[in-house]
Amino acid sequence: MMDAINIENLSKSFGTHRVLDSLDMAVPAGSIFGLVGENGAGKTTIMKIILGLLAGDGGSIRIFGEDISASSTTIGYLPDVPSFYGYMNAIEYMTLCGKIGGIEAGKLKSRTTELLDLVGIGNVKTRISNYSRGMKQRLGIAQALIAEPDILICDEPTSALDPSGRRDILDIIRDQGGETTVIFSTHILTDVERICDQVALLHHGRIVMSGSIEELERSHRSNEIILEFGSAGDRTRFVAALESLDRPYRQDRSSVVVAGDKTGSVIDILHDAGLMPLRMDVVEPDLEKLFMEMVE
Amino acid sequence: MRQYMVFMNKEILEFIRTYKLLVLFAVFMILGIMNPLTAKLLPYIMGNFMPEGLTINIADPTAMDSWTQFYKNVPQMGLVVLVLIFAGIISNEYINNTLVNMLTKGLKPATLVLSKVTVAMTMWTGAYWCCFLITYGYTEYYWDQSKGSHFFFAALYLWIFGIFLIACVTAASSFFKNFYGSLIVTGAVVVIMYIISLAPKTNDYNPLSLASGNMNILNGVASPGDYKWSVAIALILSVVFTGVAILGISRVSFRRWK
Repeated sequence: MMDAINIENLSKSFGTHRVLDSLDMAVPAGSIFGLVGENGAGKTTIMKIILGLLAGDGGSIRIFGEDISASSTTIGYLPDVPSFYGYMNAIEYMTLCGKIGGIEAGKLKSRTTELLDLVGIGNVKTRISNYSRGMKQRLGIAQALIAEPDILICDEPTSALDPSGRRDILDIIRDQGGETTVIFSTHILTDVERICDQVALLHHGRIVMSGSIEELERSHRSNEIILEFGSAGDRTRFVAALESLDRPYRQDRSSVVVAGDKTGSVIDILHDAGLMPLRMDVVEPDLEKLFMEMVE
Repeated sequence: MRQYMVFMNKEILEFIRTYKLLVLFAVFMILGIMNPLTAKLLPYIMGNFMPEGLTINIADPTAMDSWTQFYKNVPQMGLVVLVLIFAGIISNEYINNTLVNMLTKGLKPATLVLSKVTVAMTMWTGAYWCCFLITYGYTEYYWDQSKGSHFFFAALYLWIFGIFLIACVTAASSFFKNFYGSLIVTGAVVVIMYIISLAPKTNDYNPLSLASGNMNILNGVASPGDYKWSVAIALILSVVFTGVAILGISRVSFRRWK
């Protein structure tokens, strides 16, 4: 599959603070690509460099094979805090964006109506200055899509939304995948698991891991087994058995967590020690655990 | 050209809905009425402020008194209002973060600046010449204006100075993410011109002469041609400032636009 965006050796510093450090990243065309990292990891910086709103200090960016400086690919952008001309209503703003973006006049009206209906504010006639944060986020997505972009970049689009608004926004973004390549930055990992088919983990200005979520979870971490015991004595005996076998584990207030996918071996340990846990669960790895493992 | 027209329409809508157009026209129309009115009422006002028993002879007001008020009030009040209204012409886009959506749609920095400057200059033109016509009409009604000369050129030069100020404030506004930066830079430019004007030999070239020598033209002390270098320098600097504003916005983006 062709890469929509290919970044090689990209660096960027603000003063003495190095935000991106020889970063390499490839975004497959048509994918929904989750860019995950803690606050300040450099997600917004990468997006702004792709958009041409910031210049990198070194490295190269190719968009559908063309150098960024020569690319005429249409890129839609939803900033983390979208801002609009508050004295306009949604239709006026969309019309302005469409005309600036070069949408044909005959098509613009229907495209505006279609997108505003899609994001659920088709019936809102008030000025944008009266919009809630969620409504602004919806309008932000609509304006980003007005010019039928090949690439849609969304910078933490759900970070300040209530659960239902978040679900709606994620559904809209997910529906763009396929024809449009979507780059979606967030630190909410469940959002990534829900809609992304590719993910990159960004840490200290570098991509520390990338690929499909399934691939990452499969290749980088095994299952965990969580056990709870009826008494402190049973728990102590189990921990002692683990230590004698040199098995890695960790404890929290009520349970013991054993790393490793060999459930049978844990049952053997329990059997040999004559222990019967109250609860025993096998937990498959998720992105959050993977991310925390990488960061820690 | 399409983007230029579209963004000009957006600018006009903004000035209407944020009441800036209303304020600008209201101020200049009030000034237009106030100029002849102040000249007409000045003897009565002076008389009322005199201590009881003291008599002074105040000459009857003339058309030139009305125009003196015009060329005092417009530079001192009108131009200040003009600069205040347009001080955020570009910096407001930075402050409100509204430029990103436009630039990522492919709006060219030069188009953005030119459309903003065109609308600002058009509004200044409308408000200023309304003020001039109102003053002219009342002055013509109350007094004989036949002693004055070159009314149009005297007014034209002050209009050119307004154009120069708009270009200056636009350039300054493109480099600051706050309202005050452009005000301070524009104020500094005027102060520098004022300091330069203290050397009389420079007055033939100083754009500030376009806002201070108007009564000399009306009274026939100077001819319009005496200010040709000031006009040329003001217009050249206006073009340069507009180019500087384009450079200011171009810093925001380095990608080649479609």
